[in-house]
Amino acid sequence: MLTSSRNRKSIFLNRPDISDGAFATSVLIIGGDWIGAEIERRLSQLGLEVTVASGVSKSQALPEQNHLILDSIEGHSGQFQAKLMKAGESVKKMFGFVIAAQPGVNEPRFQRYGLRKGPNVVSLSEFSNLLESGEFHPKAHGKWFHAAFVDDLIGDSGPETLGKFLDIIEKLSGIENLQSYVFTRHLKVAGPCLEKRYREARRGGAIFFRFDDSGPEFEYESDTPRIIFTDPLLRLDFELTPDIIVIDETLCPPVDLSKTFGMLAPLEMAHPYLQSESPRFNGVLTSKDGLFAAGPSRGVFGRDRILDDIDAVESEIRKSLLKLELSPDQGPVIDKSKCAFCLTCIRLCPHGAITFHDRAHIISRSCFKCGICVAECPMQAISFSEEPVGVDRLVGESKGALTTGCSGKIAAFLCSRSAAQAFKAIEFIYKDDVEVFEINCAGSLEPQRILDAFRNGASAVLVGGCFKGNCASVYGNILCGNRVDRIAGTLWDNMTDTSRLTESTASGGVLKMDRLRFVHTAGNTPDILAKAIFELKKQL
Amino acid sequence: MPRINLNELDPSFKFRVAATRGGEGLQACYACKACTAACPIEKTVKRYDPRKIIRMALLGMTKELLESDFIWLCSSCYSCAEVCPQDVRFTDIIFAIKNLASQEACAPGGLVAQRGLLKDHGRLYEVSDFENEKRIKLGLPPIVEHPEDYNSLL
Amino acid sequence: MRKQVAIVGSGIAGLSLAHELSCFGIGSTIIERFPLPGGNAARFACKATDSCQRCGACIVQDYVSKVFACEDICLTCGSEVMDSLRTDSGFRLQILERPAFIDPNLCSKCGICKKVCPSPNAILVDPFTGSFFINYPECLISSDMPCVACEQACPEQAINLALTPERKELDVDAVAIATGFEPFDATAKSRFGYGRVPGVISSLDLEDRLRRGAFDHLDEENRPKSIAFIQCVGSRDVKIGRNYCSRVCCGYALRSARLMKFKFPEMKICMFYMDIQTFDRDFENRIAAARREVNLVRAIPSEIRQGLNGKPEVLYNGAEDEAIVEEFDLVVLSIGMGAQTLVPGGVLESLSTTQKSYASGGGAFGDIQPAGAFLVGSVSEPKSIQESIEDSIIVASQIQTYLGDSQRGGNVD
Repeated sequence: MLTSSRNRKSIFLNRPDISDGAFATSVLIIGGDWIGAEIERRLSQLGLEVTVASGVSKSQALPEQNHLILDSIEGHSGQFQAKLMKAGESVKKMFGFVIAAQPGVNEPRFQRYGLRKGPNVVSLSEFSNLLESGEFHPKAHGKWFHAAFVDDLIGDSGPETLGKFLDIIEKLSGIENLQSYVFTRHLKVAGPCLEKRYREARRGGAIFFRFDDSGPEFEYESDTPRIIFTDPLLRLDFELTPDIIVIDETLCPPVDLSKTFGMLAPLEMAHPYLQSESPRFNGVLTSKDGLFAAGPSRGVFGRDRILDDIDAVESEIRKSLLKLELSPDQGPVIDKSKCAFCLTCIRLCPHGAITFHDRAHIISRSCFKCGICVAECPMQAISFSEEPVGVDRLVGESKGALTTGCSGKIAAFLCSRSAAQAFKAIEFIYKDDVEVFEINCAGSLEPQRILDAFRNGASAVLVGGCFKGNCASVYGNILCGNRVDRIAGTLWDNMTDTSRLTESTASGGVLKMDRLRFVHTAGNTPDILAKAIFELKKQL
Repeated sequence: MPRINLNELDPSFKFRVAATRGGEGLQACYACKACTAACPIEKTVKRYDPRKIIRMALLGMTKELLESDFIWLCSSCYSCAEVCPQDVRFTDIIFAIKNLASQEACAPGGLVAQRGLLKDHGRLYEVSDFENEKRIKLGLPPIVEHPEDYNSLL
Repeated sequence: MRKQVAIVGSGIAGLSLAHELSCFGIGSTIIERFPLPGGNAARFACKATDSCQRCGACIVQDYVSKVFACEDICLTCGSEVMDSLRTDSGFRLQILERPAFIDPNLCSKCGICKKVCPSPNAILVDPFTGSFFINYPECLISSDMPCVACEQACPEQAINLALTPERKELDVDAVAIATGFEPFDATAKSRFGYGRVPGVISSLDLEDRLRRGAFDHLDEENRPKSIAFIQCVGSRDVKIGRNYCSRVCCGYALRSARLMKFKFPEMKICMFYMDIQTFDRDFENRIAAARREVNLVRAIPSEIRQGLNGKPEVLYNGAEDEAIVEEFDLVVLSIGMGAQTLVPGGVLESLSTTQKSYASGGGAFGDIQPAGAFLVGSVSEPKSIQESIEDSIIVASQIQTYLGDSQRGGNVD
């Protein structure tokens, strides 16, 4: 890119040292290979204090003797408390940001193909290293040296694996009388220039076998591996005794993610990655403020894309540092007198924004204002001190007053990220039938408000949240769906008029009571919302 | 069918085809099947399948290919070249393969005989005195054979 | 003084870049040719079945709302960069700004204008808000025979076609080119019958139909019962100079197929492909689910023609090497992405060397970027929605570094 790393001067060097205050700007990078080193280099140039440690797992230790190993970490952005081990002694340190940059795990697929590692059978990384160090000297048994590359017979690798094989084929292309065969399933050419390089490899003489369901089989004849296969094009049976077989590797996220970061936020929804399934977490962001996932820890393995991630980490940290000067928006507050120390809020906060010191504290900087804690607190001890930004219709003194005006209408509690946006497209049709209450996240809808809406004469209540796996607060929509289910169940138990019952689906489609509905929708699917409103209207 | 051993095939054959006029596109093929779907010959003679012929050439099944009868079936309609996304120009490739086969004396007898006639007479039928006498009777000029024209082309 | 950046194009890359810049306290002006923001990405439909399929289409709208809400961002739709000059501190752009012919405050979204309009694409509906817009290049007022049908028909008198475009000058410190990609014109692959054989549509047409819920509104009789997706139309094709994979098509075709199958389980779906490209992490799980629902055929058809009963017929070579002619109710061509050919005028254009395509790995502007001009999003290579956003995050940081440097009298070449 244009401005590249040239003159990447620090914009923060001249600022007063903020680490004196409550917010630390030092960075902890977890992961000791080139990814961590590159991030360290970049962030040091910004004038930040950077510490690199390896993850909990000993297998990924740094090469040096007295390296740091992360033992445990807790806290939130600006105040991550890490316990680090150095030569058997533990050191406690405070960090502002944490970056998960552990290398991925490359698992060669010897076993999966029924092959044994040996002089003729090597993994992709091993062979790349051999080539890199110039230690590969092809010795053919016959006139030709036959090299077999087994690339992704399972069909789940990405373009980066094909890229690595093409690297090898390009390097081998200078060797005379060397024939490359690639055994694969799909050619993953969806990477920069890969299609072009694939064509060049074909021109260079490499032969690609693309199998459908029945792949090649490997068998041994006195320790010499042999490949037996039916060519999917010719439908003829072939055998090949290659001089070398190079096996691909499964790319896995770092093994110690949940161990290392388990204390920071409920990350089980993101398993095995650190980044939630929801497409609303862009780039290296995780659901936890101040915690960034770069490369394999978020499912990105290709070198080019990891470099992009490193750029993104730098960008995010610069942004966060600028944000420090602004006072954070007011989030929900906990009423000390009501809190029963049940820890429900801490357990459920998808952003890890609630900590416990004597009692629960909400860290407003880390808080996404999703309101899950407000809705889930069994003591109703948590409330928004002032209503969150973007909620313009929620005015009123008591919660009961919030839902007035919906008498005779459908009261619709709509998530501001999805359903409320979808409603804008159909507002002109339904504005007289529906009273809309925009909520920051479906997760913030308290059961009480649904009941209040009914009490205030709402003919029906419609709750609109994001699709599963799309929630910006990871599972706010699911929690809300469960809540609606429960209320519907309770109302149903107390109702004698069974004619109102419709079929129940646990997934949150049509609920037990036809006047209360939860729909999953997106901002650009007004038809789903319109259909739900239409059906509710028809039933009334 | 017995298994074919790849180790015994000739990997250099594809370079030979590619070096022959018309065969340049051979290695560009990525077997998308579009040519096979477009080929009119393939519809009647199953043995003739453009992408299979390419694959045989790539694998170096020299003997099987050059001694086969099906490489001579192409109707030169260029449908395959029309649909190919990789610009393989299969019709030209099959010409190249046919030329190689003919160099290895693998051409079918009929074609060899035709070539002999062309070489000797410059045309596919010999024009003898018998025909020329008839032409003179009809007031037509006699035909003089110029095999050297044809031979100069070779 | 607050730094200003001009962003050409309001697709997902332009929108997210404007948002990211505002996080750095940098103001921006988005110049959009179309009367609506969102670009190509806004045309995509949500592909969620019972759960999100991570297509990212909903994110576009998020950014549209963020941009509208942000005071640092000025969004000018219906405008074009006619000329650009270098100045001491950055660029001076000549902008042609077309008026909004329909007054949004008066419009009641009744749709009468669209009904009376003789030109099919002249009046557009915002997929998010349902508002109506006049697409100037398609409208007949730009032709020799001006038409005022909509103006006369509008019951609210919200339309005023007499408004004239304005020329404006804009001084900025940096320019970001976010002109995105150009969808492949499927008529260029005439053997697939696009625009010729009824029932053959492009994937963008399908997106439009999905977004409008067109299939839901059809009764069972008229709803297509069999759909074929043809992959790599305008990708991986040397003959038309597109020797690259467009990367996103396998993803969107599989997602669309799964959505259709989810909505209408009885529908028969066939997908013709060469190689299935990974489109996300956990690809294996997704492909396994798709395999159960979609009939995946590894073959590129030779031709799509109109059958005797008017439906499209696909000619291909089947799994057993047999020649197959199969009839489908609907054929969807998964069109690829092409480098954007429309570039802003003036110095920004002349600085770009020759037009390059994605195949050479340079994007519309080649490899040479002048100082202060940045490429963002799919203008340089095919990118998905998420990747475009990720690119914006990076480029915003680069722009901030650049502006910080130039502020200190740094190196501006």
